[in-house]
Amino acid sequence: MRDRAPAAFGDVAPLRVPDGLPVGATTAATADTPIQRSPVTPAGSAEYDPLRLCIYTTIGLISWLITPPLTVAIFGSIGVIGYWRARRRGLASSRCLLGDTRLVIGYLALAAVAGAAWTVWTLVR
Amino acid sequence: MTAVTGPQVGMPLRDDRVLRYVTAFCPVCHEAVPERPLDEVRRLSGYLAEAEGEVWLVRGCPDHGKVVTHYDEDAEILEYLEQWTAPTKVHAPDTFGNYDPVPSGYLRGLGEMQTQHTCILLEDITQSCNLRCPTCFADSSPEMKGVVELENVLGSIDQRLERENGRLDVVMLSGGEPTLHPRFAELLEALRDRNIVRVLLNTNGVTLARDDELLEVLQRSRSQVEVYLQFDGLRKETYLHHRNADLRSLKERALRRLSEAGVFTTLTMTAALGVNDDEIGDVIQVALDTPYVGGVSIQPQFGSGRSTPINPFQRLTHTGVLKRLGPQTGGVVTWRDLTALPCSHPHCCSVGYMMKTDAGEWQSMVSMIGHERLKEHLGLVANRIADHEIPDELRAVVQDSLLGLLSEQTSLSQPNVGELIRNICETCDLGIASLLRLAGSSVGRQEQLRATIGERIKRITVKPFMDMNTMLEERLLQCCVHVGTRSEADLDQCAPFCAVQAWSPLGRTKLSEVAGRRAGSVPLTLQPHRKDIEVTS
Repeated sequence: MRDRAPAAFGDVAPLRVPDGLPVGATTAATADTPIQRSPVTPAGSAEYDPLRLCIYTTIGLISWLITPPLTVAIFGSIGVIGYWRARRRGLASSRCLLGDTRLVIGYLALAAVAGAAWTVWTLVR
Repeated sequence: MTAVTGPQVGMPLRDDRVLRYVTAFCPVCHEAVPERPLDEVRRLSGYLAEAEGEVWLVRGCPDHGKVVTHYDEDAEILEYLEQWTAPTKVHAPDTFGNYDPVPSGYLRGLGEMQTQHTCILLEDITQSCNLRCPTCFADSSPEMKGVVELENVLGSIDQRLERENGRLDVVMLSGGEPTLHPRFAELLEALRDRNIVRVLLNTNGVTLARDDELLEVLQRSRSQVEVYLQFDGLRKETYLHHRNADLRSLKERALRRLSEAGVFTTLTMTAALGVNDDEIGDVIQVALDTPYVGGVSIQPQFGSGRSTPINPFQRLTHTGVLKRLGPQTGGVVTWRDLTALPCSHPHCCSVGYMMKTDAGEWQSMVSMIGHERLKEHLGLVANRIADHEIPDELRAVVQDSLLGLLSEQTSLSQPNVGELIRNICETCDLGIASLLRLAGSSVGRQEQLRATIGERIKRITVKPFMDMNTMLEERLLQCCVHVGTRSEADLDQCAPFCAVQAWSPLGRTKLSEVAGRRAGSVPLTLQPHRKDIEVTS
């Protein structure tokens, strides 16, 4: 990977070369270049915002306060609705590990039903 | 200081070779303050220079000194492209007397110093998208937002029609994913009634892959509409990099459905160094093999919007794509089969038409006509631009050329082939559908003609957009790909595509951005009259 301008230009301003970019080892037109995933970082926002960690903690806190099965039922239901709408708009593949949105909807529905059933069973026993 | 002695008297030669002087911008300043007011953006003296066989953009910044970035991979090919320049067309400025410098001048639309009219009017009609691609220049999102009201889209187009003397060559619908617009079908209907030669639809194909109703809508408008389908390659890893999901089966399905429906489609490939720059030949092969695929548009990834960062010292460039054509297509298509699009800045676009002969071989129009002869024809175009009789002449000439061209191989070497090329160039960036429109009005066998062209003519374009590492003021001034925007005074206007993507204050004037800011007071069910909308930001 080239990380500086040619020496012909003498002293030049240093520029940031992003790490982990998938640049080929050569510029050969037919080279079977290696493929690397690059970090998904919005342009212009170099600072990583770990928002998800805050969200996970908040969900955990709600879960602790309300009771875990009920939280699962609530978030599972919200998830099913959200993914159902997204799928109707054309989202076929999610960044979720399950990939296919139908699988994601199935998983969330199962979780929601299990959470609801467990909550009911807890209340009536 | 070197001592001046004996044979060393005088100054040595430079180690680089200056190719042309330019006005550029500082990427370091831009990255430090992306939201900098545009009237504070410095225009910097600079030049393009060849060093180590490649082309570099050098500019002097008062704060950062000499800033050098990679501009193009092959000086020889760039020099070849620079031979293809034709006079540009007159434009009407959006604001009379706007002599503000680039880029702040574009806040008031096209200025007096713009030197090219609007060949392509790009309308971002929604910010919503059903994908969230890491390399998206438009920064779209899955939320339903930034939906531009139908009346506002048409208002922008009508205003541009007026400024273009009653005819627009191309309107490109983009976003976001434009097919998600709630009134998309109505929009296409409305465009059909206007004097627009060609409507291009930028789409990821996700909805098209399964929505029969949408396909029918496109089929109804197929004499005017061409689909620009994102198609980055054939490998799973390519889609994971560019689109964050393996979309191969969806793309294949969308392409098959479009082809079966007889809708002309261009495969739009975002190509990045080390990711899919070795798949250019494969994508071209898909285009050559698939009926009704009109061609391929290869766009080297650029660093605006949500793009992953680009290495300023090594990237895939315009000439880099051209250089890869020959080796990756087994010599079927080489860089000499393309020319710079004569009406735009020669660094901004190259184009070539491939034609299948009766013997089943692919040949380029350039190779059939010859470079020198083609240049002569382009000269004729220049002399005829002011001729108001051209549309009628064009219709007849293109019709004859196409019919002759497709009937027998011997006609491929006839002068009327050259006239076809000439007419393609004269009308800037017209594609297959527009040729048909020009040619087919009197012919009862239009469907047969469509099918033949869909199988035997393919257009290959390379379209390198600029980010701050490659931005040149002269390319902006000669740009003809304009994005519909709105001024502070809520007037329709437009600005060059690359400027709108690179500078945030300009990006915020896109129609979809304006609609997105208003969404707080506007429900997603669209309002009929935009004057009723309360501006909340």
